[in-house]
Order: sequence, then structure tokens, then C-alpha cells
Amino acid sequence: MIYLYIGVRDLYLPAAAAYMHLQGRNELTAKELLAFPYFRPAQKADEGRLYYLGTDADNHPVYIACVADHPDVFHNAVQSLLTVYGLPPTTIQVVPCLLENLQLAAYFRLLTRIGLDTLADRLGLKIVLNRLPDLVREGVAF
Amino acid sequence: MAGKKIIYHCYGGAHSSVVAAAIHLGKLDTQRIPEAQELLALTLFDRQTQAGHGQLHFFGFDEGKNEVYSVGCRNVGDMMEKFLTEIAQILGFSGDLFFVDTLHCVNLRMRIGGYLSRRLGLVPLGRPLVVAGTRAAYPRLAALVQKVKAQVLT
Repeated sequence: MIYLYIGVRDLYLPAAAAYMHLQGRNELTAKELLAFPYFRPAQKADEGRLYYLGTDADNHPVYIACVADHPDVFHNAVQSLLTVYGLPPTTIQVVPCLLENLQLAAYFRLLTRIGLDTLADRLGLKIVLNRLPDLVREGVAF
Repeated sequence: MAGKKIIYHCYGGAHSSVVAAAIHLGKLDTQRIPEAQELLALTLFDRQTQAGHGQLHFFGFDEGKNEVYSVGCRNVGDMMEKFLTEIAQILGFSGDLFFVDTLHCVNLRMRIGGYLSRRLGLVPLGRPLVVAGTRAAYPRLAALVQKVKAQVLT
């Protein structure tokens, strides 16, 4: 099975969820997250691209992606493409990791644009640490 | 280039992409603007719902054994192309998908009619408008498909 964590205009949350998955832990420290290479604001060029993060303990590949909008449409498209190729729908598990407030993604981008990357990372960290327990509860992350 | 999956995509997957796929498969004549009944006889024409956005609909095989699909991608068509191409790559089907955006062939009547019919559910109001718009946009759609076929079938 391929795991695909999808964020909307955001990479912080999918990267953190995928990192937890790869580490096989439900808790992560701020230091660990900030050291993680994909824990960064999503740029326009990231939208629609897939990033391979590694394989988990069961040898399942883990990817993250960021889309501009309509994660449900992307989810449908993946499932549909699997059907077209005659593959079982479980081949790819799409895991939406959505920010509670999408405006935050615009703030991340704005902060990066004006050169305040560290501030964007700090804001991203705050949001991720706040949102991760929800994702764990919802069974989104591991 | 035989054996590709040609995917026509637009906003809702209900009008321009459906018509383009029908033209591609020869179900509609490129030289003659179809009558309203001919358009409405197409399985998905003005029938796609929002829940079906993102789903690839298979229309058939063309003369080069390529599979022809239509899909509604809302306003993220370009991104969807990139995304599905990468998904196909990780599944081991690199270079298999050929995307065609039909949204630039869509005119104002199609947009308004499509919105009324598909979004607001005002079918009696929207459908005649979208049919008239599609007939007006037909030559552009036919030209686009001919260009695609020339590219894919050679």
C-alpha cells in the first residue's frame, strides 16, 4: 500500500503526519519537526507535486502532496485512476490533512515571501502541534 | 504513441469535455454542428454531479487503440494533470496519460447555463442555454480534438 498525505496549500501538516507515520510514533517534538526537510511552507510550485518521504516499518512507501483546493476531487481522481489501471482501491491510501483555517496557508506563504521563513516555521509548528492530536484521534496519522 | 489514455478535462465534466470525447470517438461529426437532441443523447452531457468530479469516465477506444476519458476537475485542471501524471509514475505507468484541457473552448453561455443547471439544479433554465453555448463552441472543440488526434495518432 502507498500512503499519500495531502495538504491544502500546506505542507506542514502532511509532512508532520507522514513523519509520525514513518517514525511509528504518535508524538513528535518541536525540534524533530523543525529538523524535518519537508516541514516548510508550501509554494505555488509544490502544488500538485508528490514528494517521497521513505518507507514505513511495513515497507509501504509514504508520500506527501499539496494541492490548491478541492482535496475531495483529487481523492476521487486517485481512486478512479486505480480503477482504470485495474488496481484495488487500497493500493493508494489518500489521507487528507487539512488545516482548520485555510487562511493560515496564505499567512505561511506571505511570511516566506517577505523573508520571514523562521516565523512561518514557528507558526506552522504551533498549528501542527495543536492539530496533530486531532489527526491522531481521527486515525489520520499513526 | 498508441495505447495512451487520453483524458479530456474541464470544470464540471458535464459539457465541453464530454463533447470533445464524443468528437474524438467519431460519435459527433466534426464538420457539422450537432442538433440539441444529439448533444443531449450523450450519456454524460449536462448530467454530471459535483460528487462525480475527479472521476474518470471511459468513453471508448479510438482508431489508434487509445482509451478516451472525460473528467471534471473544477478549477484545478492543470494541477490535476501534474498530480495524476506523478501518481501514474509511482504506479509504474509512466507516460501513459495524455491530458487535454477543454476549458478554454467554453463560452459565457456554457458557463452560465452550466452553473444554473449543474450547480443550482435549475435544469429547465440552464440546459437550453448550455446547449446553445455548446453548439456555438462546437467548431473550437472540433478543432481542438482534430489537433489532439493529429498529435496522438501519428
